[in-house]
Amino acid sequence: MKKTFIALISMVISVSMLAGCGESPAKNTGGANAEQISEENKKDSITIATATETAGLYVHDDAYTITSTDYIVLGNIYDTLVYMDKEGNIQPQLATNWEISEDNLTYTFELRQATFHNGDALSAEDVVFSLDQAAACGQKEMIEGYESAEVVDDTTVAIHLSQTNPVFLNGLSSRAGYIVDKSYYEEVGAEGYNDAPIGTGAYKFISRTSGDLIKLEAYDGYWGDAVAIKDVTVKVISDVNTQSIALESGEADVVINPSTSTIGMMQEGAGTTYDSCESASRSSIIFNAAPGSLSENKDFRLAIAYAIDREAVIIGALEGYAAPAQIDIAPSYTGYSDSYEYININTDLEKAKEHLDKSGYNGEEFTVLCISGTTAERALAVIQNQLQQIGVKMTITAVDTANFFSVMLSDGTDAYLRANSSSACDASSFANNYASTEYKPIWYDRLSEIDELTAQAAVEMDSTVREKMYGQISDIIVEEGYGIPLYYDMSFIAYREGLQGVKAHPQYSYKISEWAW
Amino acid sequence: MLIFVVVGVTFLIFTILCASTSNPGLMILGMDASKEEVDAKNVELGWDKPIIVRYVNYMTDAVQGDFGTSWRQGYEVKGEFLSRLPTTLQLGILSLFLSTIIGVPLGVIAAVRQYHIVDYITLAGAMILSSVPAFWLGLILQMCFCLNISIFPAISDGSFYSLILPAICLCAATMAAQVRMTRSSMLDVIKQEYIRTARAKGATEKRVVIRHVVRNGLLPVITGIGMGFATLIGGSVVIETVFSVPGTGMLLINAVKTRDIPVVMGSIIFISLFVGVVNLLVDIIYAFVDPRVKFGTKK
Repeated sequence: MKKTFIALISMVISVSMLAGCGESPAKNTGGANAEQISEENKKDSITIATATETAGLYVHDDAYTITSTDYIVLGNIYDTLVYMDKEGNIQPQLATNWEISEDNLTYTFELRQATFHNGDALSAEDVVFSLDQAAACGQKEMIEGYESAEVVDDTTVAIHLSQTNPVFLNGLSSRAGYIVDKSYYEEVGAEGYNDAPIGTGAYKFISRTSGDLIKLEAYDGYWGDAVAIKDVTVKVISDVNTQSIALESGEADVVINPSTSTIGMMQEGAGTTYDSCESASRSSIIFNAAPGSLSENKDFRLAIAYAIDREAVIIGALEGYAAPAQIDIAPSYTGYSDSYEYININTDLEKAKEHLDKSGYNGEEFTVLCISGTTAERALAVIQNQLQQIGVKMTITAVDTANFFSVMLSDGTDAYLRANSSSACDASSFANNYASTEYKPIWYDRLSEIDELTAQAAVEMDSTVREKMYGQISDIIVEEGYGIPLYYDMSFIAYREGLQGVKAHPQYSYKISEWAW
Repeated sequence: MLIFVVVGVTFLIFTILCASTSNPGLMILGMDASKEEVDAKNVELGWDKPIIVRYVNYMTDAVQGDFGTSWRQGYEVKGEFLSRLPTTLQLGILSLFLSTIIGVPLGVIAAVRQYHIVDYITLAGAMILSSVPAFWLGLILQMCFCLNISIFPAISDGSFYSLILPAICLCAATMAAQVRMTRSSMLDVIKQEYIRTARAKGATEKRVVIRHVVRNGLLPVITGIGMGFATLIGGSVVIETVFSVPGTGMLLINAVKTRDIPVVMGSIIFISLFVGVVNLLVDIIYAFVDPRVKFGTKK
């Protein structure tokens, strides 16, 4: 029994230690198997590797957590009324065309002839039901302003908003806009739907082995063009090194969102390649400016902003795979302007020292929070060195993903660094980071200006005026040093060279129907 | 005693997990949810009650067979764990089989050839195998046998064949332990007077080793094998991740990373019971194969 006790205690310690585990760095896998490519050209199946399991297959329920890489499964089973292409343009999908009323409060969509995977015809009832479900769960933020939807006739649906929303179509192209079969839901309920989901997408759900894989098959009744790839296996490979080896050995044909180290070490002649684009995510340091904290002092914040060398951070932490960010709005977002002259802060150690002297900094610890094991932690390690040059002592507080928000809201650190994404690909996501929140008091001196501009921009339909408003918010943030935009993250997709039509997508929203061997 | 150990282990794990998870509602719903929704979620999860009350409630349900549902994915913990258990057991048994059929004979040979070059090589090999980290060995094996000479798959495809490489990797440390344990146990027996007697009676060296040394020397090894099996089930956490084997180890590690407390707790209880039962069985088997233990207990 003593042995049993020792074994169990060892297990307790192991689990406790695992609680702090993060992702491990990738390794070069070596080897070459280019000769497989000619054989691959005859295939009509594909194996796609993802790091995490797709948790929920019924999309409009808070019981199931959905992450961006889940779109590879969900985005091929379900369709939305409209979708956003990789350039950020809204394109028709289940809606063939749409009209927006003059007051911008009613959107009327004409539906195409489509069927769900069980043969039920798509109707306006399904659209109304799906949007009501989305609005009743945590997705309502994505379709801000949604009030109700109304069946005009079998193939026409009118959506009414309580307030204007300039990016309502962006929201409809996100997961909040997935259309589910009302009659099937009424028959099987959310749990049954989650076990055997149906949509109108190009691929129908076949089976799921928990923790391992999901199998999809091309749907014969799909409303779009015939697809080249018939069988799809989405396999969970959580270890980044194993992802590389599986891709090189041909056991996986595609890796969604591989690590930058995996990309950096891909070898020519191994039969593998990748595509990349700027993702919908950007990383910034955000100060909390709480009373009595170091970051309350504007000069201190500006000293940090002037001391950071973004290029060095990108090379040191991301192996060069990111674009430097001068503002917190990604260029792919609606709300970003090419013509607006944003205020920038570039590296200038002299100015940094000047501001630091003015701030009265006296060697106190400057603490920054991040999620452990992420690129944010590596970026902070580089910044820690850069701040030493001006004499600032920085401490990195790295916590796991599960506890990040709780620590962030507790004001226990002076600032935090995290990657922020926008499912609607819109600048409102950036503004919300600095505006008033119900969770946490914001201590910024110019908070009322930010709040006012954020509220106005959220309902402003004139895109030029709206872009200017977000420009003004960005200027306040940079000028006051409330936040330091660092870099725009990249979206990667690695795949076997024989696969055609693969293009990186900012939100990992891939259509397998566009791929072919 | 087993019950006390399980209660102690589960309470410790429960306390650690609860102490490191301050706001599960926010963790699950994210910043997009309203404060009311987060608060309601926390109440639903019982987070408005003290840790001890939560623990008692959880264990009361657990002893009635209700291990709760996953916070993240909504599945029933018991069903999910049991559906993954056969894969992990398959991997553990295959691994134990490999470590025993290789480790025990090597240990015997090393003992019989003590201070011979074979002994040194075996001991050095055992030391290396017990020192290398499992994830590193897994990567090296994948590069050698999946990329350079493609005879094994790098990831599990559900087949028995795809479990061979993970099993080899998993058994390395256990095998090394068995080599050393068998060797030292055999050496103890070799020095016994009854072995000298057997030799004096004119028995051949082969007969002495097989009939007397191995039979007596292997008794402690049985304990080692039992303990090894328990270790393999725990060790599969790393190997299952490296080889993408959808077993209980991967379930546990993913649950720990996402603070899915019902899944972690359920898995820990099942694994604790499993380890306890295996050790109990080992003690029973030990008593069965070694008459001296039986006689000892009767006294």
